[in-house]
Amino acid sequence: MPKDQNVAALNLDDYKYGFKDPDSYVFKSEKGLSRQIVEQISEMKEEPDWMRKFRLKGLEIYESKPVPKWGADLSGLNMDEIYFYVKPSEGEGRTWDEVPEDIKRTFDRLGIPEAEQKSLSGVGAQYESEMVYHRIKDDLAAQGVIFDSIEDGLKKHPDLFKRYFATVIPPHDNKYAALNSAVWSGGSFIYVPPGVEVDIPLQAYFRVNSENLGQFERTLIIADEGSKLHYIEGCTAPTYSTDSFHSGVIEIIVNRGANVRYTTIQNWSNNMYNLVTQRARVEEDARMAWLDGNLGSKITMKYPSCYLMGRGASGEIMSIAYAGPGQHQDAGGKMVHAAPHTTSEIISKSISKGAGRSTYRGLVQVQKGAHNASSNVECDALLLDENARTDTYPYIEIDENDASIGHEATVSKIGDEQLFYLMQRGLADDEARTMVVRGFIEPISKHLPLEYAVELNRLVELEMEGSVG
Amino acid sequence: MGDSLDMSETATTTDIGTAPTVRGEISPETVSAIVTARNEPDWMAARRQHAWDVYRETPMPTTKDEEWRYTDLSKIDWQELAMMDPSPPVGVDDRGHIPAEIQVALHLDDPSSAWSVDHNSTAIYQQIDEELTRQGVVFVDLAEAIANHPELLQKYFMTSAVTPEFGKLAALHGALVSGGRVLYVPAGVEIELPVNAFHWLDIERTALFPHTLVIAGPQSKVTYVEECASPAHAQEGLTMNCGVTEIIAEEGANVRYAIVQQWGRHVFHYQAVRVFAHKDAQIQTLLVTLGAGVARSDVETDLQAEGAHSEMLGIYLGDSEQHFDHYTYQLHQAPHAGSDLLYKGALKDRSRSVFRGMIRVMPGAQGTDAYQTNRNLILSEDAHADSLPNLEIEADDVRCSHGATIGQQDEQQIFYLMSRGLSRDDAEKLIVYGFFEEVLARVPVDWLHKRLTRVIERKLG
Repeated sequence: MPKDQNVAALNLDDYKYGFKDPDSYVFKSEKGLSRQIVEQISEMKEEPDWMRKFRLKGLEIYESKPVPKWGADLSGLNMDEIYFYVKPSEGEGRTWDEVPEDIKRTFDRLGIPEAEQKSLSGVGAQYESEMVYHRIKDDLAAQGVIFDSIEDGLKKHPDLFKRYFATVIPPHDNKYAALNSAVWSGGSFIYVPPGVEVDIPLQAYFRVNSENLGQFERTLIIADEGSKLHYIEGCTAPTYSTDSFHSGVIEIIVNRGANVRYTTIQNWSNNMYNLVTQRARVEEDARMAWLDGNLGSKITMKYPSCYLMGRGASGEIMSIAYAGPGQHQDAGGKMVHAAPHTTSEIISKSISKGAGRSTYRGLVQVQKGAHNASSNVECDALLLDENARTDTYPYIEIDENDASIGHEATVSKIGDEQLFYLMQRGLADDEARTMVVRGFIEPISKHLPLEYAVELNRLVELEMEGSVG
Repeated sequence: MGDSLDMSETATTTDIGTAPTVRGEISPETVSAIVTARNEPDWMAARRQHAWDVYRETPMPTTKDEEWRYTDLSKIDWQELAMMDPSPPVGVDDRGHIPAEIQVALHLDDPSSAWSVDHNSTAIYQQIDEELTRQGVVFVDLAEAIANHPELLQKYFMTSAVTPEFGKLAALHGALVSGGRVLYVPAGVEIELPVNAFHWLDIERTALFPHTLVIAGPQSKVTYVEECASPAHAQEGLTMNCGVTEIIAEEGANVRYAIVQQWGRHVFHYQAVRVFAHKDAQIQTLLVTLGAGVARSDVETDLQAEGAHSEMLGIYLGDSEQHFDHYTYQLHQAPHAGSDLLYKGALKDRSRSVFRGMIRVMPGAQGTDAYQTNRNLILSEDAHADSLPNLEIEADDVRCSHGATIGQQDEQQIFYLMSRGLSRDDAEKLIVYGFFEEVLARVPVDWLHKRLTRVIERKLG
């Protein structure tokens, strides 16, 4: 269909992060995965023996688990073509001047140093397999907040690291968590001491530059009692004709009374397989909020989850997905209520266009003993044309009789009456449509920091340009 | 009147000969033994053989299969089940000769235009309003349909609504079908009073495969009510009831179908109900699940053409350790069709329910209106409910929604009723009635509405 091709071409052109820089690296593993590569990674990172064994165990589990039969179609993902480890530079910069010039230029183009100045408490930047920059504002460091690359976390804070690492997402959790356990590289290690409130967000930015790269960042966040943190991750990659692969593991420990918000704006190029496991363990009276924006990638399978382990814990997942032609966003979330008086809310908004497919897949589970749990789930899907597809697969498993559980989902298109009304007010057809879409995602975008809300709206506008005519 | 009955049966409506006891292995010999015992023609034997082939090629679902995640078929010890009733009951030619126990359970005063009694899947009695016969309505048991209406069966029996490929158990049903009923309503014939099919099951350690085939011709109208019951006393020895209902609604037909399942607790009940709806057909199905130890139902509506509409209703009330698993499917293949599903369940004691519903809108099915609601009321601390309302939408001009809730009784409502002088027990019961009333109010048959209210009352205790 010529119309669709136009739309697809337009979207690719509009992907403003699709630029690529010449490959430069100090080490690149061979294609494919082997025990040797896993050992090589561990050796290059000068890891303790327990971590080397942990990686090898991860590899073993990965190889023993089948590719999941549910979810998105992963048959196009060829692991033999993937480079599992690429080290772009020696060491990590504490100022941007310490970052190799060409890599710094990339992040300049992405606007990261500028954002750091203006609106962030700290920034981490990952290029290929390694963090190339990490810095946190001095006053936070003085209060004991740790914001390091995951590798430095292991080196500099071995006890804290070992106490929590892989406790929330063990390697056998799923095939790709096992893979990450074997080949993880890069990501952040964050510790917020009791009572410390980090009011301005920390951000990590992930960039994949070379072709056929596998990026396996691993992030461990520990928010100690009564602390507060907002962490933002963003991701982009150049557009290649071959596929790349991103499989992160993000573990968060939200201790008693702490409050953590984790925001993802995933805008990978449309050749990325994005299979991410992110999970928070939420203790008594603590609160965890995920905001998960999936706009890019070829295939995403990602279900942020909250394990509400302590009395009065609460969890929130706001998920927004945009699936254009050739994209499948299989996203959603999991809420596991394992303690009394826990509450959770999931709001999911998805938009499908062209042959794009967006899927909500979610679980709400109330375990035995989790008295007076309450959970509410709302999923709304907007279909922009007749080739678009949307699916909703919620799982609700309740083992207590005093739980209050609700789930609602709707599927709709942009209504003719809505358009008519707006056009009567003088808006052009495409402006009117964009406004309806913006209104549709507003319940979620309003929870974003202003810059990100603006960015999200801009992305939606760009995507919408191709949708009329 | 039951006690005064002469129990020596005088005649048989269907003689299926001496059946061998086929216990243990399900094999091709089982199929041929059934064909021989029932003296079936070659075309029927071929049908069974085909279903058998499908059965053999289809793997037995396990809890690793998404659709069977919550119900474990491996708990059925097929070795322990006879694959047909070794000594089937004999038919009677006078309603007074229907066995006393069944007479008591039957409600013969309910207004009907035709009714029948099947005992352990064997037809023992049937009656039809002569006027309907004159209008060309056919209401016969399966054996008679095979003998006298082969053209109907060849065209419709497991060919469009439920084929053996539907699943492992449907295939087994097709191979071993043990009896059943066929109703054919010619074009334009409207049957005002319901057709009642009564099923009595008191057998143990046996697998039964009853079939229901309803063919509603263009612009016809009919209500078909199936009631399934067992003796009140406890029975042991797992029995499998593997039933299939096929409803074919031709253009503009109006079909209402209800099945009220109150088997004994020794029964593992599987029921597939599938509606094949042509243009402008109006369908209502109602599934009432009260009995059996484990009950799994697959209820599907296949909306083939424009203007078809399907209302899908369900009620389940579990107690003790009952396990109910409902799978529903609203398949929109054509534009401008509608479906509206409402399943409500209440769970007592340690009972458990699963609701899994799917609305699937195929590409091109524009103008679809599809709704799905599942509500669960948990009445005890140890009861458990799962709800999985799914949507798969491939057309954009649709109005689709689903909703699911799981919750307990509202303390404020209970308090209000108690302040009006009701005991806590009565207040709770009243709330459960109110909860089910939303579904019952949509049941068009007055006596069925009343009956269900009584049955629910009894089960609430």
